[in-house]
Amino acid sequence: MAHKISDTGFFQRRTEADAPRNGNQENEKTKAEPLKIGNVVQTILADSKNMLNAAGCPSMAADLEQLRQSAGRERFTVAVVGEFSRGKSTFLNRLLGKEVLPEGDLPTTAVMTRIWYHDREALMAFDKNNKKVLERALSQESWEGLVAQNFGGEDFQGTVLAGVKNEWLRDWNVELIDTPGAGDLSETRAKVVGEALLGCDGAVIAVSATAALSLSEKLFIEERLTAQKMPFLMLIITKLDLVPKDERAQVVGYIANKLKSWNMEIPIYIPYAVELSEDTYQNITGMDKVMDEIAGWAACVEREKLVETWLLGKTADILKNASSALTEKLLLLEERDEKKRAEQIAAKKQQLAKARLAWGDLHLQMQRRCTNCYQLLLSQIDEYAAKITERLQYELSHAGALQRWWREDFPYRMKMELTNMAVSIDAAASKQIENDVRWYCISIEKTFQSHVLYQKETIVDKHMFEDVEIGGSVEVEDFSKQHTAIKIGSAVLSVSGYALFSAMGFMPIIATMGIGTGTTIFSERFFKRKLEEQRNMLRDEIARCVPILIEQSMEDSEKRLEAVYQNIISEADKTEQAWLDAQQAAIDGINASKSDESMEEEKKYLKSINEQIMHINALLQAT
Amino acid sequence: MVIKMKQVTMVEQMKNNLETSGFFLNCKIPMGYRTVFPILQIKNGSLCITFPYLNYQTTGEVDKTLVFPIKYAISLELPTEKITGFEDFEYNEKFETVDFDKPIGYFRHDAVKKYNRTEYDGLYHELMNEYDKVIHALLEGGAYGFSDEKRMSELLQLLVEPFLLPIYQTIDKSFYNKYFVKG
Repeated sequence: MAHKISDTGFFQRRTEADAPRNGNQENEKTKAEPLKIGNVVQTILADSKNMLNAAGCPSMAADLEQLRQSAGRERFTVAVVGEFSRGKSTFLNRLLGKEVLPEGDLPTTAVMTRIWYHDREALMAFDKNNKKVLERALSQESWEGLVAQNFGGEDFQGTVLAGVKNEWLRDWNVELIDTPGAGDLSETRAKVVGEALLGCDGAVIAVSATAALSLSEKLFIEERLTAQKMPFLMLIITKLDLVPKDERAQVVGYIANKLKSWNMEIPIYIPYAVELSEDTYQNITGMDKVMDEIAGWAACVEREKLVETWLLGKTADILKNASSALTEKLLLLEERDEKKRAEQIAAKKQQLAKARLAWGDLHLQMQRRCTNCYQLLLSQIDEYAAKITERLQYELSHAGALQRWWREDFPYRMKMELTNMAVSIDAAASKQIENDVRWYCISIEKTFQSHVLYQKETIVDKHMFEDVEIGGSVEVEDFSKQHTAIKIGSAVLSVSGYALFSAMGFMPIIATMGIGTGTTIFSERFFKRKLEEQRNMLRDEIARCVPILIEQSMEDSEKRLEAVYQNIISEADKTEQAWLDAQQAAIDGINASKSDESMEEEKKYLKSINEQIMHINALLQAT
Repeated sequence: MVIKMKQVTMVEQMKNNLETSGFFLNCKIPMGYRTVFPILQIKNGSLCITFPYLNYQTTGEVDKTLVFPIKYAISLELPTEKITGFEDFEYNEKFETVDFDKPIGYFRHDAVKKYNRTEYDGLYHELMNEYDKVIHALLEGGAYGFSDEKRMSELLQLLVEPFLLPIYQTIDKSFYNKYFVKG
């Protein structure tokens, strides 16, 4: 039995800096206050809004106001995310202590459900235009028509608001969001997840113990949560009760190690009290621990800083678009001749139409580059397959015990080869993507003075080979026992030959030697031939199965690669729309009878907007 | 003539036991690899010792023996000395940027060049005794005060090749922070 150490924190350097920042530690039990944006940022937002209104960009001013309102929301918002059937709704029901949300084995949640504290428990649904379409008393039946149909019907599109009389929600001023499953095939439902996460303060990732941390879950966490700088994250393990008792601790350990190996520092919780084979995980078990962690987030002082930085960045983006549009506008206004100006405006409109086409063309080119990148990967994979086959066949030709080599060495070597291949191919793919992104950014910047952000994604993952079954169906016979038996047999034959011939009066020694040597030569030849046959068979099997194994392991890579490129393109799409709208507004807003004074004013606005951008950039750099 | 027998510390004995075990012989650590200063950890409430292994390559010049990155680690649970882990860092994601075939420095490093063989051995032995003290303190409640901790920290900072420190830090942050971070 292992000797347990009482001072488990002996090797922790106990300095103030190492003290836990937030989370399930002792939280001050104070109610989470509505988010307060600092005075500096408030002033910047108000000034920027006024500038945009004065400069004739009311739509941008409205965007800014919407930003300010969403940042200044009253509640601390936590989204519960995860792939479908990971028990998200069940978790929320348990947290709330009542059956608020529908649960089921099939994807049940079709819409984003916001759960707030309310004295009167009710369910309200709002359509895409934010119009209330129904209000019902809260019960399991009231969800009819709002859950995922799965059998051909159309999903409800909009938001559902559930008012729940729950003291914890009230005390901590928390709003919970239930989302559809991230791995859901419906594009609309997948979009809902993205919308739910936008502007959330924290996320709870639900992972099922029965299918813990798949590659798509990893990708989801990376792309939607860590890359988007979600301030607070936790992972909950659901359905642990479905795992045999003595394996539960192993599953928790596996998830913890997996997160560690992916360099994700996300706290893990087991929300439901299940019996574990060891008590190591007691401090992370129980709904109270999960609730304490969320409460700790809501009370975290850094929350305001994070939101402020996000707000400043978004404000700068809006101002940059306004600045670019105003510059265009001024160039047109400087033309004194009415006719010429009208011509120039028409030309500008044409340019804008061309810009839209150019943007579309850039997208297409980027998609082509994605295909090229995949082709490059495929050609590299072919090369690797040939090399791996050659190496393994060479090793096989030198292996003594073929059966052992095939059963023990081959699977290990294959895994090693696949892992090495994954690392090299991933590096090559990343390089290619970086080149493509650079090209994309330069092209966009040249034409539209905007830029696209790119976060490094893993295309081919070493871990994807962990579950690959290696070994093939070939059964290799072990000749060594038979070989020994034959050797013994020939010895027995020699001895009996000696006895027989000596009894018959012939020369026993010579006869014995003849029989013995003959049998040995014969058996050696026989086994050599057999071994060679086996070796050839295995050589053929290696040549057959290596490409298959590689192909199986690379199945997801195309999709992952597409997702990476698609992410870059959609990021650019957002910038495109804002830029084009700003330009269009600037052209449409040109008043033909502008006086010199008003032109001077426009210049003044442009100057102040540019100064404001510089001011925000300086602030962002300082933080 | 009196031959003074060198006293073998507990940690050295563990290392000897390990290296003569069937596990070690079968775990395919190539010849030429040798252990450097071990790492102590508490895992799941049990004290563990991890022996890191790396390759040294002599060049024939004094103080120019090539030192390669730590490539393997074997962990034992104490006091049973049960093997709890073997790792080849070449296949560990945290070490993916490390080129294990490329030397990262020379033995001896600058800080220990001033010591002769006997002095170096003395310091080495003293450090091994400090390891013993920690183990004794944690397993049996033996004495291990601030002065011991300070001395062990000084010795580790002196004797461990500085270019190996990032690897120590990656293997175990707590041990690294406790003994290698100055101040």
